[in-house]
Amino acid sequence: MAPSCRRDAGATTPGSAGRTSVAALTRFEARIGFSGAGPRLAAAFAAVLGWSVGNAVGSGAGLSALAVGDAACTYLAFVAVFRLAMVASRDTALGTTSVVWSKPQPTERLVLARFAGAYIQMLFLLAAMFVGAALSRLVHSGTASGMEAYAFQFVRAALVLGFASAASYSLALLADTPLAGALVGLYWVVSMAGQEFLAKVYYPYYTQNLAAFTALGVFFVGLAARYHRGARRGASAAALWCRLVPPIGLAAALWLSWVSVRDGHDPLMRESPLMAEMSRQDASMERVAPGFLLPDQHGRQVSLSDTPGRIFVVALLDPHTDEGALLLGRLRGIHRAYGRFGVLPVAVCISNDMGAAATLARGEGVGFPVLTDWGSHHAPKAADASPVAGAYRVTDMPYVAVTDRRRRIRDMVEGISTYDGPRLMQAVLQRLAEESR
Amino acid sequence: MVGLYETDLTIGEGIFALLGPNGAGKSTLMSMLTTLLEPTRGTARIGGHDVRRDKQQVRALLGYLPQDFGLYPSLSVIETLDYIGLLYNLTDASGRTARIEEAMSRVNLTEVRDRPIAHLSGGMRQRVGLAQALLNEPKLLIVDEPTAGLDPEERIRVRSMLTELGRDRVVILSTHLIEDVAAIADTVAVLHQGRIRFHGRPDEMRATARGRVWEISARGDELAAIRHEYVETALQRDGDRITVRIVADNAETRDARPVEPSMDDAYISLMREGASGA
Repeated sequence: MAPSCRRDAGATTPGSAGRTSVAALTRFEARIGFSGAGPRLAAAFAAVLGWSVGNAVGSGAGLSALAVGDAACTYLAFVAVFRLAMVASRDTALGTTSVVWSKPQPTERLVLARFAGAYIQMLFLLAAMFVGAALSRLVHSGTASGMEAYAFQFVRAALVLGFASAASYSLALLADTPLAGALVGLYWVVSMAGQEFLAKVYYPYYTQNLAAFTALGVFFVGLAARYHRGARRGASAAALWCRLVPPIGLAAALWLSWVSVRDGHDPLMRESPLMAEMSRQDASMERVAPGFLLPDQHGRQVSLSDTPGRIFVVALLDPHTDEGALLLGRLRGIHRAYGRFGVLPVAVCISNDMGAAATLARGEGVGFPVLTDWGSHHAPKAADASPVAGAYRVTDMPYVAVTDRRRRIRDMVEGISTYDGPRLMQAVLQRLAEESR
Repeated sequence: MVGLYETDLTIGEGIFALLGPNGAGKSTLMSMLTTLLEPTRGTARIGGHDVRRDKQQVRALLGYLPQDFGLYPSLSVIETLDYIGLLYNLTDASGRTARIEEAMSRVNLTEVRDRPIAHLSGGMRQRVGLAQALLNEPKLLIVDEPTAGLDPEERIRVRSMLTELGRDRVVILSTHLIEDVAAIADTVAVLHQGRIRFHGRPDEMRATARGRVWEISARGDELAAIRHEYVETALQRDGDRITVRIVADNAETRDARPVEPSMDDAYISLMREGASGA
């Protein structure tokens, strides 16, 4: 075959001096995605979902923000998986392949812009969901306190959606079928159902794993940009970025995951000696409360021995529950009323997600340490759920231990009595009566 | 299975028609020229650029109207063309707008500029396809079966547009409709079973059948025998008799009279020769 066209001509004509930027292509891709009634309807559904989960208990927006963040990471992630797989298969479905891919636009730019445009759509849905949640919180509680917690969870959910979108899009693109994107959805289902046998490092929606999974998402998009329709480039090399991104993204993801395992504590993967030491303590009445060294909501390492001479109200709670939020509210009241008399609440959040404590603390506007027990893991019994919970022999969450000024445990309260009724307050008042200073 | 055998072809100015039945390899050749399909062997050069190596440069030179193509149904005509303009690297917004306006005007789409693609008729969609292929003012315009599926009025309109476009660029027209070729082509190549059977001007193509086209006036009951003996190219009823047009090296025995060949005669003759391995 050797046809040729005799007439020679340059490619440059007025108005085509440069190359269309990825940003300009992305804007148009987003426009394509937003056209029609479907996206607006989806945004309305997202807002309604946000409204329904955003009406949470608590004096601030902490639990509401956590709830909407978790819902976004669960439900919207599935939407992202489905949507991005469809976007990846759009040309095949609509028959636009020959029109689009016969144009002088580098493959990697089209791949990247299409992903970015669809991801912007997902962020739009996410924003609608968070607006719904914030409005719900505002209307039902009448207060706007702790709204910054939404920002924290929005970033978390955006990164989670970024990974889900990137993985689904890239797999569907590389395999040339939307079904490949379903693998990501399947992974999501397995991860949700398999907490008993999957180590924490495999969960994209835990805050401590966001960096690793974001790097993995970048790897996926880079891979698709590099290898999708690779022959379309002819003798031209792929852009430098799309040759560099896949190896760098994968290396970063593996390294961050390894660091997470190395510095974490997970019986299914690797146990931390420090956490093992903590769990070997034994809490009992009249004895010194088990010690711990855990990060607070500002990232500072906090230990009970940092502030000697205080009456500690050590609370172990699950930050994702109503009980946890209610207890935190009660601790805030105790701190405000009796903090100046040396009473210091210390909340320890038992959650697989290392970002939950900070969200709850910011949302509830507390001024005492809210710690993250980074040794938390899934377990059927409360005492097995974390080293600190094990040390305090927790049988029912929430749990509170009240110490005297020499850190000896003088009272223990569990379950509903921690946040409802006078039981906890009485324990604190009794301590103050016996040890005013 | 071979879609297209080695084909040595040089295409000059004006409208070049690639004629052949469905499955002849026309769309395969179009896809190769537009860099959408990689040839297993050989190459083609467009404006001095190799379609296998210099794909981006080739894409920048050509405009392509595919045979079956989709567009984004929710976008309006002008939005569609704006997007295609970006794909052509028309970065300057005002320059792009001017090109879009010109393209819409050329194919009579200005009045439906804001109408979503989903609400356009088949003919209008075809015109959008043509407009998008013109946005980069291509020196080479490749149109694959542009009139297929259109009503007669729309078909005439598209042919007229292509004739106008062929004045200042190379137009490669792939079609299986002989009337398209007869109406607008400057040169034609006949493709059959992946091989070129003829390459030349339309009158030269007609000449290939000169002296071998006959008309026979026959009764209805003789038709089956004629069809059995000769290759029929046309048939016309004339009262109780039928005028049958045939291609044959010699038909004098049947009271046949020689006639000037048409494009149809020449095409069928070439197909017949191709099928018999001539």
